[in-house]
Amino acid sequence: MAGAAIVRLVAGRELRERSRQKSFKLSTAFIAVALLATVILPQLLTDDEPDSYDVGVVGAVPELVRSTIDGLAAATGSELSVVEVSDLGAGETRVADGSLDLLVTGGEVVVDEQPEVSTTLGRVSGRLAQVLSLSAGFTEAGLTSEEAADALSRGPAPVRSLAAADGEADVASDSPQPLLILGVILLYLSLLTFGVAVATGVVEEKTSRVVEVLLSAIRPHHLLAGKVLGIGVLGLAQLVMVATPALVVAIATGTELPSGSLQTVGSLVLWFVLGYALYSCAYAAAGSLVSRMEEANNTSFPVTFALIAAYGGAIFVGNAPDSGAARVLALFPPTAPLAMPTRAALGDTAWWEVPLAVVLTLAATYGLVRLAGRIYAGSVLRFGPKVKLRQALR
Amino acid sequence: MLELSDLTQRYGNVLALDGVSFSVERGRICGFLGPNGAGKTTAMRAVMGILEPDAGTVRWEGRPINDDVRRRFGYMPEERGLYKTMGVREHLVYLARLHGQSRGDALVSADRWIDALGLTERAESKVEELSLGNQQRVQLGGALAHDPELLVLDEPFSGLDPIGVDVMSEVLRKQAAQGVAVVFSSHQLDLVEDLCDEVVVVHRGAKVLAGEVGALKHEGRRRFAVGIEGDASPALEAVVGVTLVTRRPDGVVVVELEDDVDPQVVLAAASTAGPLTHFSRELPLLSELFRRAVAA
Repeated sequence: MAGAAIVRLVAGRELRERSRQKSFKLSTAFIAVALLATVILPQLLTDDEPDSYDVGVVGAVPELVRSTIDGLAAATGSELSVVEVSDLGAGETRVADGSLDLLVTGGEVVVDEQPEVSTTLGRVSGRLAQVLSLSAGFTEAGLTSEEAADALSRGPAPVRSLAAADGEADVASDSPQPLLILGVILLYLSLLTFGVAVATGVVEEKTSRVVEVLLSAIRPHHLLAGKVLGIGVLGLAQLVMVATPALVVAIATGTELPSGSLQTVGSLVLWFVLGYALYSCAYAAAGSLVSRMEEANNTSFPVTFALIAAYGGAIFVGNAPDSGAARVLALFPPTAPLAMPTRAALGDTAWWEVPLAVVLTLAATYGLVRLAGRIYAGSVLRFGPKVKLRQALR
Repeated sequence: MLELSDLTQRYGNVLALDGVSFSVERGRICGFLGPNGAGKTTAMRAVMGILEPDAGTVRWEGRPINDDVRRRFGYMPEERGLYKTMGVREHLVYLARLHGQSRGDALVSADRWIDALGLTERAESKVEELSLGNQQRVQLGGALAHDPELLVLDEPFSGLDPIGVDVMSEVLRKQAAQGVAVVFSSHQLDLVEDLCDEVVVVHRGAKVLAGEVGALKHEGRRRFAVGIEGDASPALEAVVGVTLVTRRPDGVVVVELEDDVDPQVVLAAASTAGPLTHFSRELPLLSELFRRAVAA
């Protein structure tokens, strides 16, 4: 029987057994719901906001304020209808009963409840209050209404960031950042979950001694490869299963995905495959050194530590995607799986950087597969006390 | 035929196997005996390719063993091990397939062994839900499910109740009758005596006794049990070349004869001393042979 057929058999068993486990089903459902919530909740919140407002105007409201109302309608994308109100009392009554959303007088803006700054009503009322006070100031300074309008129409001065390379804006407003943050967190959790699953799977086979029966029929590296492959396919399947409902809902409800989203999703999947290949082998080697589940944490700690460091690296890269350190982190194999997708989405990568990171990670994986295979073969049949790395490699 | 030649394995300062050689033909059952730590498990692991011995070779049908040949062996390790959460049938099918059977064949033979081992009711149960005795049956099924040519069983009888022992013995006999070579280790020497065609005894890594059970029993000095009305021992001890071994509670005396002593002379001496009640050839028990071999 060919090695590939054996690896497929082993992988198939891992896939069947693990996909039946309650913990897998629960975690998949939980992550899917959480992701779905991140797509649906913001929509529910924004959908709560009406897109038309009635703005009452009473008394000597400067022309400047009236023209600001028109400008705000365009800026907020909502309809602001101006309603002339006979006196302040009537206006306040109408604001209180809700037939007016806000009331502008010669000297103040009246609302029913103080609106959140981030809402449309909050922005409109805040800006009107500002313009009211500015126009009073302009009049006192003796500006004509044209001069005042001109002064008001100037936008804010630019804010220049020294960290941004080439003077470019740091993060474009439509960058796929929320998607990236979610994706990197998901990637990190998947690498950790399925990497640890490999380690505990190896220990489990040693603990139950079933490994001796298996190794009387198949080679250690076939067993290792099948286990890694089976659990990896399961990990990838979980990623797809949790992301699909969220994506379907996002597309169905017409949520505009930020530009570059597809590239980001693609690179996250690529780096799951590469990162999992690298880390799962390290976890398998760590697991094979011990015979009891309680000890598995000790030997797999260095691997978990590297993964946590990679996550920290990705956060660093997220804050300064084009710094020298970020470039190195994105190429260095242990950190690349989390750092490179981050840098690729946020930074300014040269054409060769992603391919180089892929090649380096593959090369490191190849070396680790050989090393892990030796450690695994040398230690998987040693039961009892923890096997020293040196013994395993002998 | 399985042939082990000059197997040597050292663990640190311990010589686990010291040039062990023996062979088992197809259709024969070989009991592999020895005190704890004698090297039995190490030798069996070497046969199964789980362990690469420091020196020596293992051959099957005259050829060195490769992966494909080894897949036609069935193995039951001393430390039993199964996936606890897998179903019984599922597990047997999986093991048969790892040994190279197609899915269809694996399903058929899994069901055949489930029935033969009395597990029909538990075919869908998870392994962990079974009693230890039943788990052991599954383990045996795992060694047999791919119709192996050689069975290597490390302590297959340990932990079995008398009915389990009968089932196991019957299975091994049938397998041998179908041409399978069977090697198993055991400390239950009475069982080995009943079941085995031949035995190999190892002690401190070296072979100390080997051969057909019947032939081994006839080796060494002959013993006879002699009984008369009264005490036969003075008359028997008077015969040159006869030594007293023991006197049983029922008065029967066991004597050992030097090679040139004719049993007729002993019979005559006993008959003259009194009316004869018992005269028989005494063959040593396997346990006696074992103790002698290991004590040497």
